[in-house]
Amino acid sequence: MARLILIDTATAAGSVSFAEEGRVVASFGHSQAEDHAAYIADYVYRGLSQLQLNGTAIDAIAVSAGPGSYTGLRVGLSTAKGLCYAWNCQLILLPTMEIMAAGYRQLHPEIHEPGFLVPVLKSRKNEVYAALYKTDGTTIEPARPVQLDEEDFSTWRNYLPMHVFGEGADRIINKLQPLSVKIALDTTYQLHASHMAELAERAFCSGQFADLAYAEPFYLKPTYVGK
Amino acid sequence: MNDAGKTNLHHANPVNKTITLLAIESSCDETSAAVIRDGKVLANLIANQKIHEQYGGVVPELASRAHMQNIVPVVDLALKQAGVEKNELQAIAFTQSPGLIGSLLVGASFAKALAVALNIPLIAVHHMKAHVLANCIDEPRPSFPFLCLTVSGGHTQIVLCKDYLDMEIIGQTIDDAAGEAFDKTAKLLGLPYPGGPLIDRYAQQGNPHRFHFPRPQVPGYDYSFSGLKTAILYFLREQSAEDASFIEKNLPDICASVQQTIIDILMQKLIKAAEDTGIREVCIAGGVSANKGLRKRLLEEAEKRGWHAYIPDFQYCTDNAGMIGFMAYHQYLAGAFTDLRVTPSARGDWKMAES
Ligand SMILES: Nc1ncnc2c1ncn2[C@@H]1O[C@H](COP(=O)(O)OP(=O)(O)O)[C@@H](O)[C@H]1O
Repeated sequence: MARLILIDTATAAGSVSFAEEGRVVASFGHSQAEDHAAYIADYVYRGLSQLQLNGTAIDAIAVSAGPGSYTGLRVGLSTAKGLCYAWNCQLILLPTMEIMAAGYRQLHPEIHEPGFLVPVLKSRKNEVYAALYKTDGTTIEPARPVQLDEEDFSTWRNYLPMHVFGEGADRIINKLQPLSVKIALDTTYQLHASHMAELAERAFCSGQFADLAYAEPFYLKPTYVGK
Repeated sequence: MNDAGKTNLHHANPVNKTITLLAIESSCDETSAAVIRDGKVLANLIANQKIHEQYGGVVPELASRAHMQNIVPVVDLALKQAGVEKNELQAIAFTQSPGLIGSLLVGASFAKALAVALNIPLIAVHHMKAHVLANCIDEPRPSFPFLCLTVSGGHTQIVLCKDYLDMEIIGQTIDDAAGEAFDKTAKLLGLPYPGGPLIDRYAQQGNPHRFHFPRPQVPGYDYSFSGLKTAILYFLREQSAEDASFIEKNLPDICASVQQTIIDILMQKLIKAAEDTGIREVCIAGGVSANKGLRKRLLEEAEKRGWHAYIPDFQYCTDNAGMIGFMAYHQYLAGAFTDLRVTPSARGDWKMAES
């Protein structure tokens, strides 16, 4: 049985969950990005106290690795690295959009006909991050930056029915709504560490671990260096 | 445990026990970790980020990314080199401010996680105060009170240090830092970044009295270096208009003259502060204190004025975790721990948590 700590700080909301065998047993969270640096370590402390665990009981730390806010992702991953290093435990990196897709399926058990899930996050102006999954979780297109002015949204019609969700979804409503009635938009979905539980358990069982020293967030973009 | 209150990982320290700390520094472009036992630095590892040289300055996003990949190897090597196991540590110290926020966040988050995981207290250290205390790490040590001229890439300060945790800035730059004056001059001369050490090297073969640059008039113990930068810019432009290879032909003399000017400006206020306060224990700190001309001049002034002058070992001049750990050791003795919700800040508040 794996006992895991799950950390998500990819967007403004931040959270930490404790999971056992893919089941969430404790969760902590906040809604402001400024709070990531203040609270994430504290949540771990509180979770350990509440569950009366010490570090030797933890098998791995799973982090929501991006895309997302660079700073947020780094707070999450540096915290995870510190925990893994101190406890000699494994590190698991999970693509944030896969976590979103898993979370959405969990929250919407009514979706059972074959179809497509498109998680969307805000990036910068005129850009969002999006990925394309089948409702069974299979990846069709991994996360990528989508330029709102350049994207040929008509191709999205090839993947119907489609569920588009996440805090970036409202940015593309007007692009997608005219395309088909089979595109459902949901801007209320909120990313949370607890949505990582199943994926993290699966990654743990199949031994998909990241290199502790050199693991990096999924930045998706090289650094832009102005001269 | 009190959910609403602040979480403090405190443990009573039995008297006479050895105190072993791990310190992490990530304020700018150096990832550093040190192990300190009873105030003695057992290991002080510094990973430079060469990448910034090709951009002519520190690129914050690149620095943050590099810290993320350096942090585990650097900490691990520091512990191995010190021969210390994680479970022997009594506290984790980290640089809380000032610095690049993205860089600070990596070190701070890692340090907080270690403190939680090892269930030991956390100590937040002010980077500029640690620079001052770098003078107290090894023999010979200044006695309190002493004056410290801290000169780095981002700061120029005269600090009156009354005790390990009791210091006050009595003068500082109102614009550029001394290190910036070196680096910007170097850039004008077409030298690669960071230019300070190169100016130092060329200056050794040059005539410091060949060219004259204005000294600023600033009240009190404060400094200004932006006027010098402008003066050098115009000087080089004029001379190069007359002779396109002016810089090439006169590089050592230009470097020596600029360096002499910067040192004069720095020393003038330091001398004034020493005279006014009557303090004869005088130190320098920060990256620019590696400058040979400045070191020599400090020793000459000390000789002339009956000061005791101190210069930290080179490894404690530039950004390093050794000094962070040394300061943290004194915070530890004073019981100045921080709660787990501490966050780093780019602009350091001088009146910080440690006292
Ligand atoms: N020998 C030297 N002469 C002059 N300046 C130097 C010398 N060595 C380093 N510096 C300058 O010191 C600065 C870096 O010091 P450091 O304390 O690491 O600064 P910061 O913490 O502000 O980045 C740079 O501006 C560099 O050019």
